[in-house]
This record gives sequence, structure tokens and C-alpha cells, in this order.
Amino acid sequence: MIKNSILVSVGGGIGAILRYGLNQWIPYAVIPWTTLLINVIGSFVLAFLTFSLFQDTRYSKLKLFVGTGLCGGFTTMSTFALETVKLLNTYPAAALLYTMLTLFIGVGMSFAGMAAASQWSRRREVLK
Amino acid sequence: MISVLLGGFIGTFLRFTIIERRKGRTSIFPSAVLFVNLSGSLLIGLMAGAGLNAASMIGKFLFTGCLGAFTTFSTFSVEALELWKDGKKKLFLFYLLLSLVGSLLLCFAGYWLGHITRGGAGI
Repeated sequence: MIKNSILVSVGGGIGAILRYGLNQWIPYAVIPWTTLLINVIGSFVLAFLTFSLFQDTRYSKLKLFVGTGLCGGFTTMSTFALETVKLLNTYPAAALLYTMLTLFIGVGMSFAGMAAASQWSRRREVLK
Repeated sequence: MISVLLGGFIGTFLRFTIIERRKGRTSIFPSAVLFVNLSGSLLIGLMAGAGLNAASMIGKFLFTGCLGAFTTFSTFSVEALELWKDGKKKLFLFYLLLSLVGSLLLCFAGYWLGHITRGGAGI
């Protein structure tokens, strides 16, 4: 139990650093594209892994480290919420657009990740 | 860098602890992640409204690190996807809207409260 929580937390720390790094690297625009990109990538990767490798109990440690830790810590809801609230003051239309994009592309990419995982599993079956 | 790493570590640890505690309880709903995202959004709003500078060291620790990693979008979207996959379409929509609209409303309320506490007159 203690070991698992450390594993998850280290993954989360690395995820946060990656998010911070991307934010430093990509210049700030009216719409916070960086957070959108982060949430979109994280949703795709987590969905892909959840419906492929993570189905196998052999990868339970990897699931904790990469899934709950890294992907969980990389993506964020609070930053999205704060950015939207701040946008609401200055550019209400942009705030609405940002929310819609996050909802549709973010959740949409998790569906895409699941579809990619089933493709990948099928190919693996063929190769066996 | 170190403040973000340390904050991310602590935020993720707290999220994991809360999710683990909820495990085993029968629930039709991924309520642990919902709780994490709603409370994290309220807290970030409060702190930002109270005037905490996101670019300062404490700001990086709390905003980017702790709260950024405590709340999560990927787990939220995959849990929503699982509801959809299980044929719970209404619950899927309800969970999506409650998470997103709830996070935004609580963050806004927190921002407003923090602003008032600091002595500002609303937003």
C-alpha cells in the first residue's frame, strides 16, 4: 500500500513537471491552448492504455505509475477551471469556446484512445 | 521546478488516498474523482481570488503542483467513457456536465469569495 502510493505520487510529480515545462515552452495566447493540448493528449494516452495494456493484471504497477500518477498528474481540471473563470472576465466568448473544446476534444480523444486500443489488440491477436 | 515536482507529488498522493478510500463502496458513480475535481477547483479559485501570484514559488507549488496534479482530466474522461461503454448514457452525460459545470461554478464562487475576503468589491 505504501509502496503503491509512492509509485503513484512520483508519477504525478513527473506529470506536473511535464505540464509545467510545456506551459513554459508554448507561448501564452488568449485561449490557453497548452492546457487544452495537455488534457487532450493525456485523455488519449490514458484511454489507450486502459483498454490495452492495463487490462492485463501483470501491468498493475505500470497502471499505477503511468495511469493514475503520470497521466493523472499531467492533466488538470483546476487549471482549466481557473483559466476559464479568468477568461470570462475579459473574453466571455473565448471562455465558452475553450470550455466546449475541452469537453468535446478532451472526452472525444478518450473515445479515440479506446478505438485505437481495440485496433491494436486485434493486430496483436493476428500476429500471435 | 522543485516546487512543481514536490507539489505534484503531494497533490497526486492526496488524490490517490481519496480514491483508494472510496474503493469497495458501492456507487453507481465515479464520485471520488468528482469530489477531487470539484474541491480542487474551489480551492484554486479561492487562492487566485485572494491574490496568490501563480508565477511566485508558492504559486507554482500550490497551483501548478499541488492542485494541478490533485485534480485530473484524463481520469475524468476515461471514467466518463466507461459509463458510456456500460450503456449508462444518461449517467455519462450527467457526470460530464456535473464535473465541468460544477468545477467552473465552484472555481468562480471561490474566486469571488477570495476577492471579497481580500477587500475587493466583487469581480
